[in-house]
Amino acid sequence: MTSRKNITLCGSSDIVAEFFEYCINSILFQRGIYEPEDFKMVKKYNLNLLVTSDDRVQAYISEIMEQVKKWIGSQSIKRLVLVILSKETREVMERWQFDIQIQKNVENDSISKKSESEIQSEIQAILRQLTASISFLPILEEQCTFNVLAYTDKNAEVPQTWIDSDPKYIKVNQEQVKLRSFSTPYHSVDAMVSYRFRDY
Amino acid sequence: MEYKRKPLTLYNQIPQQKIKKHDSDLFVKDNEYKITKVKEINEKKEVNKNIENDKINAQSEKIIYSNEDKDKNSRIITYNCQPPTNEKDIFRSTWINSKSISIKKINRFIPNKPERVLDAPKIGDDYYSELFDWSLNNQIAISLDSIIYIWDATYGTINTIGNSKEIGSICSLKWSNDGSYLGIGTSEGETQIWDTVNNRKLRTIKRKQDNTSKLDYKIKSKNEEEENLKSKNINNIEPRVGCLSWNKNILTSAYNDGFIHHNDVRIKNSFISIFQAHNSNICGLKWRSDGEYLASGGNDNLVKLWDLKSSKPYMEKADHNAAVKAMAWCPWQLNLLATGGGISDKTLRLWNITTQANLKNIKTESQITSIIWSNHYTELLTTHGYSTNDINIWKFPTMDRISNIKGHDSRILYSGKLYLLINILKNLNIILIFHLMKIALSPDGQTVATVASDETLKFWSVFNQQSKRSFSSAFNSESSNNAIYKTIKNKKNHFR
Repeated sequence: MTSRKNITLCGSSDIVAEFFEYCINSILFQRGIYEPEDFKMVKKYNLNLLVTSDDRVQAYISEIMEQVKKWIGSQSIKRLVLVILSKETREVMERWQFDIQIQKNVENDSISKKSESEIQSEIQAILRQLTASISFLPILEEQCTFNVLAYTDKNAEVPQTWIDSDPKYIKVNQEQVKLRSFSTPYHSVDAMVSYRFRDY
Repeated sequence: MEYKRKPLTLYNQIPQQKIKKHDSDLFVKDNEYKITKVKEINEKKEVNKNIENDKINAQSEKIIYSNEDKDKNSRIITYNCQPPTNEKDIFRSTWINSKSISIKKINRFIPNKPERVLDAPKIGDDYYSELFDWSLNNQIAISLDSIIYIWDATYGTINTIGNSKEIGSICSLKWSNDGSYLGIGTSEGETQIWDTVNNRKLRTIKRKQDNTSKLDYKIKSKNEEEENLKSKNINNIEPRVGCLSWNKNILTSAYNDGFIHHNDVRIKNSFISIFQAHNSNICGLKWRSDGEYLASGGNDNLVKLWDLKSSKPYMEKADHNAAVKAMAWCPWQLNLLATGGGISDKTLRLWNITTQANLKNIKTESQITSIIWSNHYTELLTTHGYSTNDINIWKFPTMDRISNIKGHDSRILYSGKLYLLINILKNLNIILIFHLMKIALSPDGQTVATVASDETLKFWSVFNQQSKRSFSSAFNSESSNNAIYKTIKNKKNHFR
């Protein structure tokens, strides 16, 4: 029991941001947004995860994550959405949605006593599920690209590199699957994927 | 959990939630795995078939409303920058990264600058033809803009032979083993033999119809008219002679429809045999120096070995994933054959033809266009086309890369294809015939020549033997008393 450490708010936002980073990388690999040869395997959360080895993509993701980390720290972000859209028609094909909730009662024993390894295994479960969900998602037949949306507080600090956007919902034939969630003493993250279902 | 159907129960009573919509061995528990169908946002209600559906709709509407709730209370922003494109070079289709191969140092100087550069304007830009050859007499035959030039490397003189009317459009050039006759393959399907000293055409060999295929036509065609039509068609699409290879008195031509044609040029009726060797274009053809085996490589990615008497291959290998153009027999170990694949293969393979084993395969960085073995060193040289356009030298049998020469300027990168022509001077009476795009040879085994689509012909003395007899001497007039030159002069008139 002594191995349990109290996780601070800062540490918690780091965990969440890191989770997002690996999530985005995994989705980009699993959904074939970039070619598989551009990914390398790393060990994280006791899993073999694939992260991009393309410098440009790396820089792009870390640019986003840096800002997201700030928002998580200031608790002004509510939701992060990775939108996969067709390159040609800009139609939304998939929406990977991560809801971030702030734990109201931090003092609550059951949550605050969660150890790091417990959180890790929860994250592991989500990432496993994310990989598994490829089997039911429809194949992306066209060239696709991605976009990251953030739902922030109205009065959140927004740098100039970010602009207002529409929610980019899937217009027709939407199906959605709720994925697992994980929580730290300060945050809880729910994951969900919605996709365009195709009738054949 | 498996739902057992009871016979004669009503179908509707099968519990809905137990029917899996998507079966898979996901890491998902049953109760977590919920797919909800969401109706279009504007659409209000629909007549539902059962209560189950109603429930789903109710749920999904809730989700949407909760979404909208969040929408209202928050600001949706996006990173104002497009993610990097995932478009790659067309040729990066292969999923295997070409590994970077290190260069191992050896205690021998290999120059990385050409010794001499000649201009080769309008060199044919075709992967499937061989418009260059270097003879044992130290003469280079090269076809530029459908004219054959004979450049004498000893004296530096230039002659042309024939004219395009007489010859037709040239697809391949090959000197006979002793260097006194030039075989020419044309796109009209003719194989011609020229005496270059007297500038005279000695004979024209037309393709003989395969007996069996002729028979087939007869059986198939119902009337003569049809037969005529067919034979006409055959004449119209005369397959071109893409490769030639000499085996002493036997001249073998390979056609772009996959046929191989053997001719004995000593006798009046030269025809020996014709047979279908590959299903498509033959791009590599080479006799072993002792005339025992003929190696052929095709656009069908196959490597085959033949002997003269049989139309059944002695060996057949399907290991390459692209057209096999580059092939070379090892001059000092007769059962060793090297082959190299095209753009999507990039692999150099060594075969022991006795055991038919694949001794080595080396993944190179780009398309292999030709291979040459050194006579003096246990080394072989490969030339590459798209995308590196370089020359590599490998040590046999470890297959360490010992040199990498960036041969031709970047212009080739954009022209797409590289025609490297390589030539080794040899000091034996054996001629290696290099089948690459354009390859030929000359006498002392020390210098290699390359031709690329940047329209230059470059000479590299990569197999130099301590400047004892450097290649440059081959260019000097003094070397006219070259022993080899003399022996060859005496050896002339093999062919009638």
